[in-house]
Amino acid sequence: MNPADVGQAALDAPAASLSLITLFLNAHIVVKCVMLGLGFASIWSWAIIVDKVLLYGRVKRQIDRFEKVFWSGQSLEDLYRSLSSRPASAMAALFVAAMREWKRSFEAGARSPIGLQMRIDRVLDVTIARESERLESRLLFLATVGSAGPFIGLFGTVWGIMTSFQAIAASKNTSLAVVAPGIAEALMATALGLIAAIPAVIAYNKLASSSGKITGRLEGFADEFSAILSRQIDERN
Amino acid sequence: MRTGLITSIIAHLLIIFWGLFALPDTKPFDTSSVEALPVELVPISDLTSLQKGKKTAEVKDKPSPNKPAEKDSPKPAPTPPPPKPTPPSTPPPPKADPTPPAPKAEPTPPAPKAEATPPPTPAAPEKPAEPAPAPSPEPAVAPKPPEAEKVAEAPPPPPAPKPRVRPTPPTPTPPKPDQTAAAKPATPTQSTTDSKFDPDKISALLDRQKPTGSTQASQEPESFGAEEARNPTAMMSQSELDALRSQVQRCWNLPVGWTDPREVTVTIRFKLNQDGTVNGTPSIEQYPASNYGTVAAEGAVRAVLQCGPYQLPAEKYDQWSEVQMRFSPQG
Repeated sequence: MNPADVGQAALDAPAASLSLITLFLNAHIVVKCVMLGLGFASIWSWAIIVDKVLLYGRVKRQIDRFEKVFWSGQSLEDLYRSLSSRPASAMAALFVAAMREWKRSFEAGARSPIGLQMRIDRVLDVTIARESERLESRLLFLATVGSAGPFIGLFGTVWGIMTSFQAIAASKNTSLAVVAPGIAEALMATALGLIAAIPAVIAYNKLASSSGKITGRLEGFADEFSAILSRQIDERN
Repeated sequence: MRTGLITSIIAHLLIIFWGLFALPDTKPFDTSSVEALPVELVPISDLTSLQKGKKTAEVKDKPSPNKPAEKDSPKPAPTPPPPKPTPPSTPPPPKADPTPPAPKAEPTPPAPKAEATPPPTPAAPEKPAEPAPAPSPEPAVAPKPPEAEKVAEAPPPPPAPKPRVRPTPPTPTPPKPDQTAAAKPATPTQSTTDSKFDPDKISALLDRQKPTGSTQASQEPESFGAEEARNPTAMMSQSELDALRSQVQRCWNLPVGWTDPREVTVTIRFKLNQDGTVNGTPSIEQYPASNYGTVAAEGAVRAVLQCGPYQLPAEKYDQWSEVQMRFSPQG
């Protein structure tokens, strides 16, 4: 055996490209599926993040605007008339729902002020639940990606390493050049899992706390408005 | 929701494309190239030869630095096969070597004859060799002197008058002791065949060719070979490789319990000091992927360590300073 041949063989061996694309293309089919799944999870969770951030900003601005109008001393009747056709914000929806119940009961000639109070409270609760459900929808997907993403990626890695070890056993060659590519492509699955999971976890915590704040403001307003209506009921009787 | 989804998809695509073009490709680790001397326990059919050249160059029949090297040191001449990097079945190559001595006022042998006998032209290299030496030189020359020598002899016979000079030739030879050393220890006798050494004709002995400088002065592009070989034409002969092999083989035992010895192929690499002792710990390059693999590999390492120091030709230290050895019992 010529030493020159040995040298040449050693030079040829690592020639194979190890770019990300080739790593992906060379991966086992299971690992490929895992990677694709994680890619879609990442795309979808970022879509949710963008959507929610925009939504919360909008909701906050609307609430601010409504509160300013509500506490400006304007007559509740006028306010109801201007908003009843299309409640612009979550808080406006609360206001309109309560006002509608109030007016309906009064026009029908309510006899029991306690029953009216209870109905108004219940309407407010239902509206708050509906609004917060709209705010928090899809946030659970972020939580799922955040907790399961690393595991899914790890599954891809374990599978990839398993197949590459099988290949080693079959080829009876333990040189690092044989082992390394398989492990590199397997580790890429874990990397993708982390890439999908980390933003999801961070965004979930951030969005959950903002939605909690918004819901808190809605509840506070509902209690206040309920108190105002209750005072009105007492005065009328 | 749609804005979010579109934004997300676009962002992902951008990041992927950015990653494709902006992320640097993985850089291979820097590894220093090693000029290893392979020694195999499996019989080797060919001589190994280390040619000076570039590892990345193409393999060529004719190594480019060969020409100047020959002029500088006549070593390659005695062993026709070696200069070829591709020993397998290339009979033409030897020609290159024998020719230089005769026509090209080569070192010593041809030159004196040029003076002694007007016909310096080796017009009939083969023929004269037969008749003239017949008287006495032939028997001494031994059965088969290489072609080169014969050609050298060719002219002298005609003048034939002074065959007795036979013993003297050794003196002219010393300058090029390697002539015989490389491959066939048997050849030394040939040097004695250079008959006459005439001090008056020293000028004729001189190489009239312009010095070409180092062996790298060749005009041809670099050919395939070892980059660091300082003595490009020296090579380990089969017998020397065999010597190293047998020295290691003494200490190597096949691991007990091995069921199929054909699977045992261990490659280890080690460095040697100038005095033949092992430098550092041999590294295991490759070992069989089965239960006994590590046992066999460690056995090989132990064998190498136990059997040192090795007796190897010191002048070829370049060649055996680092040795890659393959252990395989099937041979």
